[in-house]
Amino acid sequence: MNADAVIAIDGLTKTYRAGVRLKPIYAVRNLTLHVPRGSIIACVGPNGAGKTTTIHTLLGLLKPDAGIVRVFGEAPGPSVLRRVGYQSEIFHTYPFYSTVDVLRYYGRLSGLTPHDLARHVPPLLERLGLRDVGKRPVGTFSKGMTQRLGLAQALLHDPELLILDEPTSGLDPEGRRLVLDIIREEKDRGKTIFLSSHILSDVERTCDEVVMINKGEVAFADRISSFGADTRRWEIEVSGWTPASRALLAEHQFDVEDEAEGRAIIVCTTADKKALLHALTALPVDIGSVQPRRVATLEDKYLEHVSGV
Amino acid sequence: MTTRILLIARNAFRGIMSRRALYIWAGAVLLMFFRAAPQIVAGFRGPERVREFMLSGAVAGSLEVWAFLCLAAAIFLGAGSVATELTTRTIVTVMARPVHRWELLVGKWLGVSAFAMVTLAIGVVLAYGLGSYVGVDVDRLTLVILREALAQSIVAIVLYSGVAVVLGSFGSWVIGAGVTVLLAFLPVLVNELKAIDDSPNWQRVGITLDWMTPDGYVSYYPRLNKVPFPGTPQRPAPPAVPQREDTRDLHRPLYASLAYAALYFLAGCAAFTRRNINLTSG
Repeated sequence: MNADAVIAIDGLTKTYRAGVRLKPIYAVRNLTLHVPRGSIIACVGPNGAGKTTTIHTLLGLLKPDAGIVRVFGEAPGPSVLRRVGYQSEIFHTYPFYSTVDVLRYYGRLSGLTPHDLARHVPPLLERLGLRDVGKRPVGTFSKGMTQRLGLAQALLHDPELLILDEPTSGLDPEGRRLVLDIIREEKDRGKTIFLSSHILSDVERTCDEVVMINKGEVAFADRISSFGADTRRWEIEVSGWTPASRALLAEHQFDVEDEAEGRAIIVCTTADKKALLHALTALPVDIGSVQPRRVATLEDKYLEHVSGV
Repeated sequence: MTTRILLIARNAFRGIMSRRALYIWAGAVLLMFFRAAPQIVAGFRGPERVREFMLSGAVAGSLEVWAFLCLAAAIFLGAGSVATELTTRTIVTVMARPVHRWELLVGKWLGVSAFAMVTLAIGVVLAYGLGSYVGVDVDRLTLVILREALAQSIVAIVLYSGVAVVLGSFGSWVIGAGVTVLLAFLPVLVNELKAIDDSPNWQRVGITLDWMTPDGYVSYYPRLNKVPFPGTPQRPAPPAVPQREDTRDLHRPLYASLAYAALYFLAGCAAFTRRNINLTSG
């Protein structure tokens, strides 16, 4: 077990019983996951993959059937939750409360004093664009405003760990950008963030690592930096390509891919690109696109490991 | 700890006030009206000697109905307090805070009990107003009986709302309220079982249930009408104000009920702490 891990899940298994015969259904099966301090890790997967079950286990709402779950080195419970901020996929709260009442209620439950609240609430409302609706009942809020309020209550007590379940769900592009900016700012402040999301572009833009869960098991895990474009290698698309063309370029270092019907993709390093392009212009070939070599994107990996495409 | 419990209690109280209080109070006023109106009309239209009996009975009866509604509200609101949080999923954000599960239950219990007691107090004020309006004499003895009747109601509210809160925390307010109502009526069944002479087994069941369950709710409100019905033999002179020794036997079941409330609630807290919080879909 990683000693510096803020979240350490080892072999977590959680089943639900369903039907008349109480047949066990695995929500999470033998899940192992470690979240280092100061990182942003995204948990992605289809509906019913086990993301929310994992999060509810981290919060102590659900008890593991097997495995060990530790947050800040302790089993989830009130002493740990003091250091955790949580936003649910859809922030359900009491419709009779105003925005400020909601923050006061959750803030006081988190141990903040009225003095702390007076200091923290106004800037937080400003930061999330809720300043003008401080006295409005939350029952009248749009989905986007409710979600922003959900993030506000998660940030209110300045927790060390943020657990965000679909934080950009139901937000318009402006709201999404705001939330993603806040997540990055929190990371820059040294906070650890564990989030679940369906929106892969958000994950690519925000997170350090991704864990793909499918049917309760980890299907794939890697660093986000390993996806997308590789600027060290380039792809040059050419037409009119013949075996003779290859011979004429013998003095250059390159590979040829997808060679068919006079078309080919030439792959070279950044160092070789300029000389190779110069040589190609002297050949009877047409140069099409020149672009950084594309390696598998997060979406490719998702489709491969989760959707099985 | 105290702060969190009081916050949850205030939240529960405010939630009831914001949504259901007006309906409950309007229903109670209607019931009070329907219970009292016929006797008041009959009292004013009837002969002089019937009037005092009818009017006194109207006030006592309306207060009894009101107190019964308070108890019913405590049971149903108690059963719905945690169950509704599970259905609306608000419990997740609360339990993601440093809140012990037993603190949630105690807070809900306090909030629901406080609402039922406020409602009971409103009923007493309304009944007093009604009594003054129709000219019912309120003497010291009536106040002593009223005090005992209110003590019965308050203990019943505390007991049954506590049971309803913990049973409702299993996810269904219908089952929570149903089992609590069953518990309130169990003493009748217990007495029947204990009275079966030819079946020792049923008697044993009755004795066991008697041991496991508190005495049911006993309404003292009819005793507030101390005017004899005209034509019946003259009652002996009203007894003197009960002394401390006299009320000791009266209070013993109340203390027992409070002890049962504490035991049931502790067992419910232990069960709620150990189990998964599964969100329900209503």
